[in-house]
Amino acid sequence: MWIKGRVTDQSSIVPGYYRLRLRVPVAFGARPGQFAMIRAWDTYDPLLPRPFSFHRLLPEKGEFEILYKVRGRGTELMTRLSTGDEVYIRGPLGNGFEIPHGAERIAVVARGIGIAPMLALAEEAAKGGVEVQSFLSAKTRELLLAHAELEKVSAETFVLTDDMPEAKDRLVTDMLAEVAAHKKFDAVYVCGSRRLTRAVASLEMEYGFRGYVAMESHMACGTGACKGCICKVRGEDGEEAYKYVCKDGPVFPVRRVVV
Amino acid sequence: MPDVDLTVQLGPLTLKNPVMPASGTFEYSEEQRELFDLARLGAMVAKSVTLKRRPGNPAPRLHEVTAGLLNAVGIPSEGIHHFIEVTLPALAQIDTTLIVSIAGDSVEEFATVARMLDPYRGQVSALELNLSCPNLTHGVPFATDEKLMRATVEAVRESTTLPIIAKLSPNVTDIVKMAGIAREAGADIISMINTLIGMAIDVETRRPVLGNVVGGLSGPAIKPVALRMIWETSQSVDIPIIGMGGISNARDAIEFMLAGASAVAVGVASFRNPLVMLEIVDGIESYLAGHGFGSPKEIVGLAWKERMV
Ligand SMILES: Cc1cc2nc3c(=O)[nH]c(=O)nc-3n(C[C@H](O)[C@H](O)[C@H](O)COP(=O)(O)OP(=O)(O)OC[C@H]3O[C@@H](n4cnc5c(N)ncnc54)[C@H](O)[C@@H]3O)c2cc1C
Ligand SMILES: Cc1cc2nc3c(=O)[nH]c(=O)nc-3n(C[C@H](O)[C@H](O)[C@H](O)COP(=O)(O)O)c2cc1C
Ligand code: FES
Repeated sequence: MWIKGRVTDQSSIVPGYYRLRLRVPVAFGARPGQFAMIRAWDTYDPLLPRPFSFHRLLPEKGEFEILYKVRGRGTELMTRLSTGDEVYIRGPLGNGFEIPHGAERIAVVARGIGIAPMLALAEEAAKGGVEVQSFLSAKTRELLLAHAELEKVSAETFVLTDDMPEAKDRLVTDMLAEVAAHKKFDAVYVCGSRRLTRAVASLEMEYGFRGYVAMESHMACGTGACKGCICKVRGEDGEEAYKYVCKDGPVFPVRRVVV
Repeated sequence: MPDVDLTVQLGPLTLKNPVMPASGTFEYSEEQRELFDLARLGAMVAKSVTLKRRPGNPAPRLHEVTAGLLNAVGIPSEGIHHFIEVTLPALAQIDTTLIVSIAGDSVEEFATVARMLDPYRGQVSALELNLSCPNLTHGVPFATDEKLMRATVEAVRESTTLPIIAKLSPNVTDIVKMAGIAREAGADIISMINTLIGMAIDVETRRPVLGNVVGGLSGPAIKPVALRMIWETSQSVDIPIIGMGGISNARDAIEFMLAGASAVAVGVASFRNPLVMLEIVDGIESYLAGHGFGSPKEIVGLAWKERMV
């Protein structure tokens, strides 16, 4: 879909990080893990829309939220949006997360802004009666974004920030491994860190859950036309090939991606 | 106000209107089909296809710059067999003219791909030669070397009876000369311009941004260059031109036609606004009607034709 959305709320949660709520005029049908290309400018600089994951889906209100980090010109301009402003939206795009049929317990693993797509997933899982355990990592305690919201829908939440002494020789996935040793996870989802992605891939073998990663790449079209947004993915035969994050992803089985 | 007939004649090729996507920027996807009826396009132009399967360039492939996009996608292709078996039947469903862009590492590869597509003349209306890809033995793009340009267009001419569109590269000293060579070698139509070679450097890592180091620049930033090249070429080469390079709205498209383009193609602007091609079709129609013209061809090259009288 290519539609105009209207800002219904925007707030800065910590310096450099914003939560933006948008209202769309039609039923949008988005799923957690999908994304939208968003353009909040008519200028040629910045030129193209930027991709953002759905942070929270509120279909009953005709709204969704994104959580974003200010990175460059586009996100800088977005910080100036206020209630009532219009933005262009192309979406929903991409495949989205899959919650395996009959799943009883899942884990979400995220670092920093990688939390963005995880809240939508955790909320949907919890609504469907699936237990969610959250494993969050960030530079500082302050940068554990959307921590409170996630905690609300999680049975347990584990955090590890770089400024904690125990972070010296531990990753948040080590905490996941400890829980996985006595609780069965049907699926584990990771976003926001190569290191955590690799760790989840190796735990998948050990604990037999299904691991998924939400990938990022630079995008121009968001729809498979420009062939720009590649990531390397291993096939069944072990052979590596390029896949398109926008069309084949952004969610991939964690054991398949080459990170 | 006169009735406007948007039909355009490009040598042997008839289009229902003068607006089409630029090769490599538009996909016949489910998502796209939901946005609008692709039959409203003057033509559908497919991404360049090569003989064998090719992976394309390493990441990152894209980098936005001021009013433009650098791309180093390369030419990832599933290969001509996959194209004929899977892509072509889908594209043939669209009720409009189909232009297939072909590319290769060698003169022979262009000729082979052209020959393989010749039996599909019921579905394919013309071949566009992406001459901006590098030649394997000489290392330079076909479109930047006079001998290679001539040899490639001639070889394709001998391999097909389909209309040939030679797509020119702006990365040359004298584009008018290259257009003349393409015409002499048998091209029916010229399309121009492909991307301008550029690059970007990350000042923090102190390394080139693109995986391939250099990439092609397109978008609004290149429009004045494209316009100038079409202005010059259309005055000295007497085959029709499909103009492209930064066209982002109907005004831009009309500028290209006034400069001498008989039709226009839109690339990067569709990423910004997926409905832009339809807006351009409508915008051209109302411009023509509003200024008392009956068809697009009446304004082609007017900027220099009127200047001469
Ligand atoms: C599927 C997908 C979902 C995303 N979801 C979110 C989200 O929910 N929240 C969020 O904050 N961000 C998200 N991103 C990243 C976001 O799109 C970029 O941060 C944004 O495009 C930056 O735009 P800008 O104009 O501010 O920066 P630019 O001026 O374009 O770039 C600033 C710097 O950021 C780098 N950069 C730009 N895009 C990316 C990228 N995709 N990956 C890595 N580096 C990049 C550039 O190379 C440059 O160094 C997502 C990306 C993808 C592909
Ligand atoms: C992502 C991307 C991919 C492209 N791929 C091709 C291609 O496969 N073959 C080709 O002839 N030109 C290709 N081009 C060039 C365009 O067809 C066009 O000539 C150029 O982008 C200028 O038009 P624009 O400024 O409207 O984008 C590509 C351009 C972009 C941006
Ligand atoms: S962003 Fe264009 S193909 Fe993925």
